[in-house]
Amino acid sequence: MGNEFKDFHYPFIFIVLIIAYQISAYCFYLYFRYKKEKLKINNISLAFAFLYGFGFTGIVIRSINSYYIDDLLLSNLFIKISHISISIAVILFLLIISQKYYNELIDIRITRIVLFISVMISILIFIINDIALFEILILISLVIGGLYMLFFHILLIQKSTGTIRNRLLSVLIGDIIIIFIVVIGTERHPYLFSSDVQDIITLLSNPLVILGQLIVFYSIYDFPIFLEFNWQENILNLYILDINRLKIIFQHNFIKVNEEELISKQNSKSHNIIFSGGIIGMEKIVSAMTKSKESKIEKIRQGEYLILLNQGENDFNFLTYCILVKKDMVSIRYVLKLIKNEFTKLYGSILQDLKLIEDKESQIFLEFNQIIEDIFKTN
Amino acid sequence: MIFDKIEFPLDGPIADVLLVIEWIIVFIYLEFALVFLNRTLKFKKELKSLQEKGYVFLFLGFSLMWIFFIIGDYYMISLDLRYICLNCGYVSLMLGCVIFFYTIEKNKIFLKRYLFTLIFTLDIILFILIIFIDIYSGQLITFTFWIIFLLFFIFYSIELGSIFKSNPILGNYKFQYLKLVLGIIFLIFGFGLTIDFIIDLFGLISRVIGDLLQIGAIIFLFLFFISIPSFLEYDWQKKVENIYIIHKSGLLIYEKSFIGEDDDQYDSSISGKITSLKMMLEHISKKEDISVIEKKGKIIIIQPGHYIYGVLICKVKLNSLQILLNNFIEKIEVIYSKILEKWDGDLKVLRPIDKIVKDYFI
Repeated sequence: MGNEFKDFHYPFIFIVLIIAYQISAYCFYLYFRYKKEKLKINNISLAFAFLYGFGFTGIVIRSINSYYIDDLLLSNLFIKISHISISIAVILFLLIISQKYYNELIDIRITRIVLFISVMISILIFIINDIALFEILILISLVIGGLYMLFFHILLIQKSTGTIRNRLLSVLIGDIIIIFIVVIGTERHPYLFSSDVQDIITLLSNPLVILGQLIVFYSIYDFPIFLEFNWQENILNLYILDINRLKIIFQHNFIKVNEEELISKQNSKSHNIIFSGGIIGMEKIVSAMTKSKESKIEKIRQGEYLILLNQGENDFNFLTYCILVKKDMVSIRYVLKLIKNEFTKLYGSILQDLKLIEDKESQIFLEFNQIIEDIFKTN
Repeated sequence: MIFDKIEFPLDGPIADVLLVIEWIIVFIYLEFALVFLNRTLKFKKELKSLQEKGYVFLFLGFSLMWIFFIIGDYYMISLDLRYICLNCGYVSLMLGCVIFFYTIEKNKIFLKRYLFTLIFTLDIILFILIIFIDIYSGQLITFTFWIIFLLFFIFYSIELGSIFKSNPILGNYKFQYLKLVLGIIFLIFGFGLTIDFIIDLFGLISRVIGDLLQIGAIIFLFLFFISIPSFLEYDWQKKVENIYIIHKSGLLIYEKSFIGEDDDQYDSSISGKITSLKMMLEHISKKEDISVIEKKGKIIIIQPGHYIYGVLICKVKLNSLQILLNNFIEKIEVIYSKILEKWDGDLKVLRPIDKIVKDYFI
């Protein structure tokens, strides 16, 4: 490679590494940001943090070795370090996605088999000295590991909805650009390309990897929380109750079956009082039985249905948010909390004066249906 | 001390390290500019985005300057070409800064409107004139730039301090100041260590230290800019005198005075006057849009919504006030759209608007 190309290539290698560490750090941040919600599926951020952090460290070391290291001993050391780093990245990624909560997405037994093969290959790569065998093992690990991760990523996209799906698709596009360029541009391939072609590949490789990285970074920036798959199918109805006035001030139906019948039933005054009064009555009885006034009911099971409850906070503790569901899911509880926050954010200024808008609540809170739909689209 | 003049283009092991560090500087500046650009586009309806638009140009200016420096110092064989590149770098930075000052001063007055923008524009003109006369003296006269830059941030800090003092909810301003002060000191010292005269004295190692200081400076400044509140969110309070909400039928829905004057006759007649005014304006322009009427010492902003007009009477014309009024009208219409669509004149249901006003304007 000409010196001018080498000089041009050299600084960009470090920029690639810096962006990779930033992506990795941001994935760690996303993991810790959503950790408190106890949605285990968000560990995927951790998997990507390891993949980008260790993976790119290995790739960059390999690239530096290929273009700039002439000493044989030093070169061997660089290759070993590079393999250790890439192996750690792949193994940690597979280890995380082989946890049981990914079973809904992929058969984790296959993931564990791939993990086992990856560990074996990594050990073999590290201990053998035969160059031909070494290259074959690397090829096998690339094909198995790479294809499996690609397959996992595609499954993840297929199962996701809304904004998450679009974001994951962009991440995949960024990843494909990166993988393609890494395979052909990280090392020199004298048997495949002439010197001139190799120079052009080298010249273009870093800007293209940076482009791929930026696509990934932009896609994961402010990435929404990962909710369990199919959570939307388990929600039936949402009610917001004003405990002081024993009144449903807002309701949203998530199912379209018998919609008219449901609306007319729910709009009736008797339904209002029975539902809101029922919840409050139950609250009082349970408080008396358990002798605890502070804590509120969080869940009521009735046959095959469940009512999840969430109490308003501070100045809005007279509001109770209820969601009728088929199955208790951490994701649905999270969505209920999100709905509570959005409702308070939008209507906080007028909620203290609900008496002034008596009988006009349905008109005033109508716009909130759109916000609920947006929450569904995002997640 | 080393008194050997450094040869350009830079070469050797330290130059290789420097090249990497300086590309990293370019990248970080560019990245932070993109972060602010993204925030500006994403939150374009928020007041803070008006201020953050300025940061985009500031960071972009620095990034461009470093690209020119790298080209000049590492790839230009002729000394003249090197100086052309360096001067292009300085001009890029100055243009970035002037747009930054303009964006900030558009919404915030320091002593006099557009004072720093004007001084800096004159400085750029002076700089360009001087480098046309003597291409080599560009670097020497950049100190004027740093003086203006420093002065601007002194005023900026004073104003910021007063916002923090009057709004204790914003938290500890000393910590924010620390980030700004460290950022500016690192930036100026770092830059000083990279100029030719200092490199000739202390060798390339001073440039390495200078570059590293500048990386620290960029991070401190970025953290400062991203965490400080916007002037615009607090500064307009003293500038608003009255607010009115008028239904498009001509009826006054809400009014509030921030100056303590209470003139009932004036208030009750204003809705009719404004509705007529708005109708006339719309007749002229043939479309419904924001109207700003300027009179000496008074500005009237009329923001139409679907069902209502929002009217602000204020002392100065600030972009931030227009955005604030627009957001306020939007919020009322989101909450009351169905009521306002077929409004029967019932004011009781609209009484909670007072709380929305407090959320936005007090």
